[in-house]
Amino acid sequence: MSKPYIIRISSQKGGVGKTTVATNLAAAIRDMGYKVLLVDFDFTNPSVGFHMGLEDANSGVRAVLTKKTTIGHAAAVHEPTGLHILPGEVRGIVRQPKAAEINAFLSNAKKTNYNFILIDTAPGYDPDIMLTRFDEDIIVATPDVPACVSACRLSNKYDKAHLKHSLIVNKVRNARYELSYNEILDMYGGEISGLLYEDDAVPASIAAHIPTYVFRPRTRFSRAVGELSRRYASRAGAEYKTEGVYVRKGLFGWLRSFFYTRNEK
Amino acid sequence: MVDLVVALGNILDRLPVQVLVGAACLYLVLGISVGSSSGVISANVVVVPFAPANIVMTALSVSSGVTTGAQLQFNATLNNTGYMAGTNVIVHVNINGPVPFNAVYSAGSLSPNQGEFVTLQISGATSATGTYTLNSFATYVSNSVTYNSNTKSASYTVASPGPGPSPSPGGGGGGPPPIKAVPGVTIGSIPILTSTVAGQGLTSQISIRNNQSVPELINFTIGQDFSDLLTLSTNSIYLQPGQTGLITATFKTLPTTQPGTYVIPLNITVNDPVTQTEYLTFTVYSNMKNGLQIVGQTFLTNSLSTLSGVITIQNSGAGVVRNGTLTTMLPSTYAKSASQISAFGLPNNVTLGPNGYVINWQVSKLQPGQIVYAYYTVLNQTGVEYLSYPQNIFSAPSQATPLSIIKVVDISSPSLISNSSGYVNVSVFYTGTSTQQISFYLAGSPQSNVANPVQTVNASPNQLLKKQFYVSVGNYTGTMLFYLYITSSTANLTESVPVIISPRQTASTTASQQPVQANLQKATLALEAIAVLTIVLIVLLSILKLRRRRPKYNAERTRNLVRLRKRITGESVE
Repeated sequence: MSKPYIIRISSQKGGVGKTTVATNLAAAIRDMGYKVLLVDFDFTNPSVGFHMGLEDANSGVRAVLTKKTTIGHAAAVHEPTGLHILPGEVRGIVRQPKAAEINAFLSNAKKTNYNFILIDTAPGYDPDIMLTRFDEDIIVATPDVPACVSACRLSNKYDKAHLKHSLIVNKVRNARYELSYNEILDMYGGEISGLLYEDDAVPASIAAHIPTYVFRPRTRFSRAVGELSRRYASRAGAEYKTEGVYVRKGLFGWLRSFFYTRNEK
Repeated sequence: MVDLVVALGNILDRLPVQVLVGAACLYLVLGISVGSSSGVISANVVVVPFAPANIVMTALSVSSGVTTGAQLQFNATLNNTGYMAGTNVIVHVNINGPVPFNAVYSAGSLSPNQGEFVTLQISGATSATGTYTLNSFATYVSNSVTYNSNTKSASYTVASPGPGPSPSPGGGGGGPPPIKAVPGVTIGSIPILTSTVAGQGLTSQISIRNNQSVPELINFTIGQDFSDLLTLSTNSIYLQPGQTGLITATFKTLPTTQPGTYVIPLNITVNDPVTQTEYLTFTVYSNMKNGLQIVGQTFLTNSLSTLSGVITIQNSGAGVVRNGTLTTMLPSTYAKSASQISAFGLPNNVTLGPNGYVINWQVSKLQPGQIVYAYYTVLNQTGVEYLSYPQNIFSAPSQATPLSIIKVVDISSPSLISNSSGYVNVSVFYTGTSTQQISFYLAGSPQSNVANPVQTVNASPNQLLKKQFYVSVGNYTGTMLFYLYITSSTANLTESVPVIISPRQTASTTASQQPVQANLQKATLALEAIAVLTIVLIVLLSILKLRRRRPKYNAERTRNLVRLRKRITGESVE
């Protein structure tokens, strides 16, 4: 990999779990041996720092945007995972960065020696900003109509910009009131990378400031994140040949498909 | 035959009338047959004694005041009141008491109207204290018919030997007259021929009578070398004229006392300085625990100058006794020569030694508990009146072959119930130096069965041999004793194997419990089935619940959603 592969995690709707997906994907890719930088581009309510226990970081993404320091100097290291993190600024309501600042930041990021740069964005973040600067966008949604409609809207935008994107459905409870996988697939019309199930380990790991993938690696959530990370990591190196949603094989796979059927119509 | 009848008639004619009358009593003509053969009349006459000898036991007495371990003197008077002589008369003695005792003795032959005074010296009948009843009768056999005499009874009491004066158990109590005539003094019970086992002691008594008209002081001294073996109750005794006194001679040995015969000089000084030296013969047996033991010794004398003796030998030990030797010493006054003594029952030889006649009996092999008898007779005996009793010495009897090469490591016996079977496991360690064939034989009682009682194995040195016997027992309850015999060419071993047999449950108990158990089993099965069904039902319900709560594809909703997407993307909505 000659240059960092920049992935943006975005959603027009809040509360779908963008930061959770971003931190766990970053930790999982880091666990594969890649150098990963996680950037918090939510200037209104930055939460990566809270997830990773870096609320008191001296510098963050704003310092880099304002060119007070460089990415290499500002990145904080998260000890449990080895991730490099540029957290957002906690104090008050700060102004949104200008497009030129973001453009400069991304240009500089491309020059670093990170293998992956994952950028966690704010809900409603203007998707028009520097679309071409990203290599891929991950849309995060929950299995409900508002979130999926929002994801459709965003997907349409990316299609027009020819930005590679995929959907991760988070907080799946497999409840009757949720949209089924096939409903989401028919509605979204694009690629669904994976489903992340609701798991009690997630809030517990947030409280522990350690990504769930590291905090509880054997949970269903962590295993799905691991599968997603391998998929996105392979995309960075070569054209990823999608195999659809990860399906467990064997007896347990059959049992799972029996109880959590996703392909029925 | 006619000539025989004529001759018989001539004889009858010459007999006196009274003899004919007596003969009529003596003989019974059972049958006369007259027949014709070649013109000659013949007759066959068969006669049997009609009135045989009639043996009557007219008197019976036993010695009183006997102590444990002492010999019992038995006196009986037999008379033949019949017209025929009784041959091979046997005297039967049955003693009932704390330790029963039975014996038979030969009394020889008794002619018509002949009386016989029988004296028996019985040992083994006084082994325990208490009151005994002695029943005795005589039998003889004539023409295969056994005739019994009347039965006489007498009782006697056996007491513990005390230190005080009492009649001498063996030769005292009005028994033997003195051998040595010390001037003015009669000394009884001399010579003393006694014996014991090393480590034990015994007492004998010497009676002294002052025959003089003046009081006499008699002093006794023992040879210095023997003062440890023999002690006297007193070293001097003062007797009035005609008075009889008793002194007790105590023979004592230590376990380490060398076995053998000790001749202890006893100096008796009367009318000092007149001194007479008597000799007490004291034989110490080996204290080897060989198991050989004399359990009975009897002597019979009769007026026909014949002495009979029976020695009953028993192996009271736990092991097999091999190559044991019993030496019986008879005083030289018993017989004129060794040829007068005949011994049988056991291999033996009779010799004349310095202390008398010696009969060496060979006990080649004696199993535990087995009894053998040694018999001897002295014809034309001469010294019966001096009979104390013969001494018997087990000289160097050998113990069973050392068993060190076969060591029983373990014998496990099953706990059975009646009419069941199990295994007896035996582990034996062979420590011989060469390969040897060892046989195992497990024997049980008639109520048991051993399927493979004999097992043989070639044992190598230092080999652990394990054998298993399948044992079945019948309808028996309690402890059944099996015997395991392990034999080889150089060693034998016998072990007892107790098997505890518990009673089987009675049919009524079983019958009453069977329905209860059956009902219990049914109830248990029913509960188990209900539990399994409940679990299966819960699992199925859970599955159904999980399946019902899953998201369900809603085609109508999907169409609306697709329509919504198309509106977003600007596609035409149909």
